Amino acid sequence: MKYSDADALPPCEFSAHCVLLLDDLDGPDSAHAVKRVFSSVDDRQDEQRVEELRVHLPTCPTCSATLACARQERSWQRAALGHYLVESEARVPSTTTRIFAVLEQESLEQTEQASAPPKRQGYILPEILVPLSLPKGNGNGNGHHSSVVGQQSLRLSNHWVRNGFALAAAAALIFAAAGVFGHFLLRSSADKPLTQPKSWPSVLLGVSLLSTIPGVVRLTNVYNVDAMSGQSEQLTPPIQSSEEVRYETVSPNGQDMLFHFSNQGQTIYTTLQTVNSGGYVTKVPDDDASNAIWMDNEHILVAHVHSGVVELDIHSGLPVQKYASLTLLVNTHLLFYYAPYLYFQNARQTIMYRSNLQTGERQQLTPDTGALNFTPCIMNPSGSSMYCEAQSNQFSRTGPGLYMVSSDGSGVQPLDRRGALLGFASDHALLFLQIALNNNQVMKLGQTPKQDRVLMKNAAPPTALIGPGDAMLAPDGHGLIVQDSNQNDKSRGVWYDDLTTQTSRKLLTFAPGSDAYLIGWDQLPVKGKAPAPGVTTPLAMVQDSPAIRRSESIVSGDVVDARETISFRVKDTVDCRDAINRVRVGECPA
Amino acid sequence: MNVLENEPQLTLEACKGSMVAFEALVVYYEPRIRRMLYSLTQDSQLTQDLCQETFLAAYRALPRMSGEELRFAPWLYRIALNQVRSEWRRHKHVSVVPFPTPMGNGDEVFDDTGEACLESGEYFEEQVVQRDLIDRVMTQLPPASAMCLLLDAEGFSYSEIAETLQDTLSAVRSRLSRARQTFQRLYRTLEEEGRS
Repeated sequence: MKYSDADALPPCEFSAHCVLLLDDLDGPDSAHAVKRVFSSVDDRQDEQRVEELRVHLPTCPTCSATLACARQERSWQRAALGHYLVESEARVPSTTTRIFAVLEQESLEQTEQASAPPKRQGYILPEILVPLSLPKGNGNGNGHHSSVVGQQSLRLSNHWVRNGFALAAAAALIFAAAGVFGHFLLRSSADKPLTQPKSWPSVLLGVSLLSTIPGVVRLTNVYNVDAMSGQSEQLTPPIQSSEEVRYETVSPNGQDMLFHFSNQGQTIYTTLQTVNSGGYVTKVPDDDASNAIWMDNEHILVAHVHSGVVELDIHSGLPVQKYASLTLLVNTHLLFYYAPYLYFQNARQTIMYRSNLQTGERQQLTPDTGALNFTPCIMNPSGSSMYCEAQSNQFSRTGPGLYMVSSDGSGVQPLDRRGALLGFASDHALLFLQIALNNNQVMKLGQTPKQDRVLMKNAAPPTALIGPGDAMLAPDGHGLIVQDSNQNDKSRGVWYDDLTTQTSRKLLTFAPGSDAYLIGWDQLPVKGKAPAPGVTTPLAMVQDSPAIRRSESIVSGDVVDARETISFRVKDTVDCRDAINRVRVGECPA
Repeated sequence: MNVLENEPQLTLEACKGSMVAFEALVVYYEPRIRRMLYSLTQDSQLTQDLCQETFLAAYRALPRMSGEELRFAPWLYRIALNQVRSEWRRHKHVSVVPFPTPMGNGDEVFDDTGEACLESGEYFEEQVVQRDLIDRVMTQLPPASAMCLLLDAEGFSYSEIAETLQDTLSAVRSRLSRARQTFQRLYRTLEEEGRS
């Protein structure tokens, strides 16, 4: 900040008035505006004073210097407060969804009221809370991490209760007598937001093994595992690929997932629905293929390295829209779609952008320091901010950490914390996992590190290193799924932490040589009858799954008997690469 | 203040009961009201509650308003600021401002000595320190002065501020001028305290 100093000039009795009337003196049409709006005696005096000062100013260096100083301070203050307001906006989740929910409810009530018999007016009744489903945004903004089930606080209907005069009056008397009437009357609708109990009971896992089939490097299966019971079900026929299958996100409604893999020079983009109906959404030559994200439950966005981004219908595979302007960024990596904005990164994942798909306008959200890779990232439920784990790259001399990136490009803020991003609590606060005192702690982000809250002190797995994307919070917040990598024997385990009971259990153990990937929480029912695995029990795969019975590879022309290829039970410490070489049907040898 | 291009028309339609028009106004003004409320309360949950109540109050009152004469922005901000005042009165609100810890002061210290990080690191630190100072200044300002300054920063004209605060132009002019000087004095003092 700089401050002008007019002390060296002779004093002037009008200087104080100059400061007071600064805005009027500076307005290009201030005289006109002043005349138009002045109304009180004081206002008219001010108007007159402005005219006098306009005459006085050109001849008074003191007033000119004072005005210059005041202008400088005003400019700085406006800029600082403007920035302060923008930052404030980013600190609070949007309430638009809540508002629309209540409006929708009120609109319904008005409709009902219009068709109902005349009712008693002006009757004060307590507010009650009822659930109401209200979709907003596409819900996939959190990438493979869980999105948060919005807490809709809903104001209810006086009219609902008004339907019976006698009943309402009696109820009011009872409430009043019980001393709860006042409580209800004083309660704000937002005081007790109602969590919509959505069911996200299971987790999608991708498990791949090296293959011995000629021309096929890996065999991959997708499983749905019930986090509570441990029961699991294989959802796809075996996927043959020349490289690892890349899993994207679970669809916003939790009923589908998006993934892609390379086969014979083509990258095949598909979803559970399309795989199980024997098809795929689209194919792209490997050298033009990048990642893909959900746009909504029926559409995906596929990034091409050289030819922009294409919106596709997952059922027909037909392109709906092509966004060629995004070809300006080679190797665009798509992050989220939150209507109407598409969020994406450059190839090195050091810069974040967003583009308005309706207008084509593109905006850079983070400066390019070249020092940090922002991955993974999750978007808060309101779409106002993204949270990223910043990983050091070869250009970095800084440590990794958590960052908040404003969605509108107004700033990037280091949070002074390290850990693994999990998702968002019901109040939209960020939850993350950090190691403290040799324990994995589930933390809720506060305004400062000291204000962070510990939600679970000793989440499983104990003391294990958690990699990016290896921990996910259920969208309804009931639990946490974490994958660890045992450093000694290279085996991997999947743990479930129940945040409501503060208990942990190990769901699965994968043998060395198998790769497992947490895809995300889902709402698909687990139809398998596999027993619930205990702490050390291995993954139980359903051998009579319809997907396996169909026994077709999803890669056309390569029909194989899936049961012969991969139906087996994985057990602790069993090398399943070896198993798949030797076992055709049945279990891996102990 | 910059307003929606078709705001008068939207206001008129909203007064006549158009939900679509009101939703367009909500989409445009909700972030602005939210940031104003948070700047005054420093409380995320309270801000969300007050923001929701503001728009619901507006929605319920619109049918009683004359769409041709209503200037939506000052009217909406007035509702929002009245919500804040009511909240302060109800709870004798004492704003406890959390002071963000400047980067590097936590247990998990960033090693930001690298040149690559210097540019962005200094920028972040300066922003954090500035926000901290403004937080503290805002809590020391009289509420009406803080509101005045924030409305001015939002681009409101004197007449719009006067309309929002239900005051005369002359009073707004005096209040804003005093608020600017007080803000500058407090900020400078706190900044110097921070340096020493």
